[in-house]
Amino acid sequence: MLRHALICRLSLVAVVLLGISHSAIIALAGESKVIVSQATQADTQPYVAVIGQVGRPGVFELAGPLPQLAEFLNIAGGITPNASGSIRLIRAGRSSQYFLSPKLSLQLIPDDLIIVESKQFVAGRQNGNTASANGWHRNADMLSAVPAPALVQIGLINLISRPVILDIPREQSNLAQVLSLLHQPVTDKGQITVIKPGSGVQSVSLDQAFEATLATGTVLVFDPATVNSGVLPRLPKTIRADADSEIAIAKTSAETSSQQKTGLATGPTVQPEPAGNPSLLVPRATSPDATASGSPSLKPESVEFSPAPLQTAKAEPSNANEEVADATSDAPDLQTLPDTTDEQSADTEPAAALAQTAFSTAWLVILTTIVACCLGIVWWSRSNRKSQPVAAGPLSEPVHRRENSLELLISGKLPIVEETLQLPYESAIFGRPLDTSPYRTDPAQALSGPHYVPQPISQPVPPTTEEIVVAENSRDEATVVADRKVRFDMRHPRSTASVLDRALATFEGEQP
Amino acid sequence: MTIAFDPGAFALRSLRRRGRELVARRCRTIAVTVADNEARRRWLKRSNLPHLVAENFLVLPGDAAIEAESLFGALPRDLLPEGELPKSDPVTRQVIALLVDGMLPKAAYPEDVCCFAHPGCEKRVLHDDPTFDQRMQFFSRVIRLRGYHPLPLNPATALVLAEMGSAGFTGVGLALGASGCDVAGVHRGNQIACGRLAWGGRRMDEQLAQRQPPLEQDSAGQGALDVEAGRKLKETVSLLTPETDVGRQVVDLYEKLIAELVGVLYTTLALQSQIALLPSPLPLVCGGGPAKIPGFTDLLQSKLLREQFPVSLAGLRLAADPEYSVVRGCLIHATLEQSPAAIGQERRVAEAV
Repeated sequence: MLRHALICRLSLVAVVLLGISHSAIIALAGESKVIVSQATQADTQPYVAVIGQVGRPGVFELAGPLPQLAEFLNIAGGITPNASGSIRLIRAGRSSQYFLSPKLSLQLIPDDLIIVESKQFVAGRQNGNTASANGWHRNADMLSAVPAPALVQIGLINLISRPVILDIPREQSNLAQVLSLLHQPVTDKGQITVIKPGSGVQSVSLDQAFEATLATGTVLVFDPATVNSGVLPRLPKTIRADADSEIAIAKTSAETSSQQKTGLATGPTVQPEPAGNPSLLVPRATSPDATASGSPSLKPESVEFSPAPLQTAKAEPSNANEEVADATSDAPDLQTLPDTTDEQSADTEPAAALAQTAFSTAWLVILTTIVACCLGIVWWSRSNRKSQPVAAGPLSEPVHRRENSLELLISGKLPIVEETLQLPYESAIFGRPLDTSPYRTDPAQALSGPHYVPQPISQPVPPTTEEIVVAENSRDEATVVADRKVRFDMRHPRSTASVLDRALATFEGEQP
Repeated sequence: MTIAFDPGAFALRSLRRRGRELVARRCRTIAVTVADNEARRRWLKRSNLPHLVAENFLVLPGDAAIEAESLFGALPRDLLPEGELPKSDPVTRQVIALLVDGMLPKAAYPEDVCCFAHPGCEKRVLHDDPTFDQRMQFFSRVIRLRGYHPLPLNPATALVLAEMGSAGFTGVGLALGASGCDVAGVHRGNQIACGRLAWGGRRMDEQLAQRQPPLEQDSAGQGALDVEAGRKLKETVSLLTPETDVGRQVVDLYEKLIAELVGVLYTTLALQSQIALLPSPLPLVCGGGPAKIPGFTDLLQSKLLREQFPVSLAGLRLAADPEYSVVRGCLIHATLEQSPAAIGQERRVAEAV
């Protein structure tokens, strides 16, 4: 009965605790947005990107003071054996080249983009096979004897507030395809600065974009004023460097312009990172050529075309800037963002989302409570059934006992009790026993140890010295010894009657 | 009723379960033969010593032989010398059969299993093949006569079953006996490798008995080694601190035994390719009478460290109860191998109780 009461009380307490916890969730539901905003606010870590021959290429979110170049390369997994030692640094839209050496001391600053070049590329450049001045189509990777990788890694600057690294299939590695993937409008006035590997900086108008093949290590520097951040797909995740692990950070909130690092942005305003627009799952075709080539696809882990998971509001924002305003409406730093959004929608959107969240959470609480109650009832009924008197069969209890005793037997916990061996007092057997002791000593042969003699000795043994001495004293006695083929020493003289016989005779003589 | 039986060269042991305890029976594997006369019969009757009557001889088996040794001045002899069944000795076989009858209660049901320790790697019981291991054949027959289904098991494997239940019945067992030492590699209760060293503690006792100044002499004037005194002398020595000449001799004997045992272990593991599939490192357990001497595991551990085995070994330890570990492993094996019908009968017995 105590057990039943305990189970019932535990079930009740569990249900009550569950209800309380979900009530707390409901109460805190309205603050979830604020928490997200605060986290975004505090997220002012600098970013440094690296591509090429390193262990973990990507965009790193660094904590604390920025490291030197060599330290950062270690954070990025170190350079690969295929690295040439030639490093290109893209800083503020300009490219500079360095060579790795122990004396190299290069302090990184936020939004640096580092390109670690491969041996094949450097060898090709030294042989004069590098891309020519107008040689977009000359892919550096194609210069090497080894087969070119299937993916081309390029860097994007000023697309959002941090560098972006993209892995795109080789067949889609031209500027038009990249712009199509990024959903960026192709306008006549737009220009993109392309920093090619080994060929310096070149500005390309967008009408030339369809002819421009991009090689690994190419960096595209956007003009922030022409970037439409509202249609950007979800971009590759960053890597948190302070945890020393590849924990990707899904940045779902926008970054403010105040997070831009001073003097690094090439334009007046750098667009925040978008959450991804669910209405833009299919990339726009920028030209008939792009359309004919099919929908461009990025490497799945690089660019995600999934809808934003957090927002389920009734009215979808017209663009990503509205979401920025929603998510960071309480953040004072976000007030400095150029206000291109509708303030009314910024006020009403959180309330709608909050209401829907609270509604769904309440339903979740109700369902969970019902399920918990059902489980408690089932548990109580089963335990109650177990504790009832055994009516199913008398064999249940012995089976249970046997399992326990087997466990005890294996674990050696069963005590061992010795009992006396009971043999019949007298039994008749047949045959004549081999009345010889298996262990003999043979001093005449001077063996090192005893030996087992399975059969009685049948051959006469020559007398030993001791026996000869005995024979000199009594010839008859020595003859008896030789006949018996038995050794003995002088310390135990043989007697005609055994000790026991004499003892028995004495004993019986004393008996009345 | 499930039962285990260990017909060792030094002693016979049986073990069975009764409720929440294990019931053991034990007797020495020796017998004394004396001439039959009226005086001795009266003495035996007065002492109530069990005995067998043969042609003009009285045979006192088991522990009765120890009493008869002092009473009659007769030297006991081994019933299983070197662990083997004596050939052309029907009396000894009958004496062993009588002892086995005493060790094993009559089986309650035909499905009852008796697992008995049998050195070597053969696990089958053949009855028709006369060239088959006669020792196994003999004990299988005697056990069948008691109503059990015989189930042979290597002593080292039994040791692993008894001592390594927590390790999933996986490891290496070293069972040291009077007549020989067995080695077995076991994985999840299945013996996958085994080997045997053909000498054990008894030979060491003989070597030590040779040091003893007096030779024992029976009533007929036969001189013999006092092997029992050698055994007792051996058990008083510690391998860690040998201070006397006897102690140093014991250490020398043990070093020789361990060196050969490690060689057998290496050969056993090296010849069996399945050993490489075992989890590593393999734990070791040793048991048996010769392993009870203080410092044995330390000496064995030092020898094992010098050898490069095909599989890494670790965690050598002595069996918790070296006297009954082997037979307890046999009981575990018998219980696990028991047929469902026998289990059902045990249930009914338990219900009736």
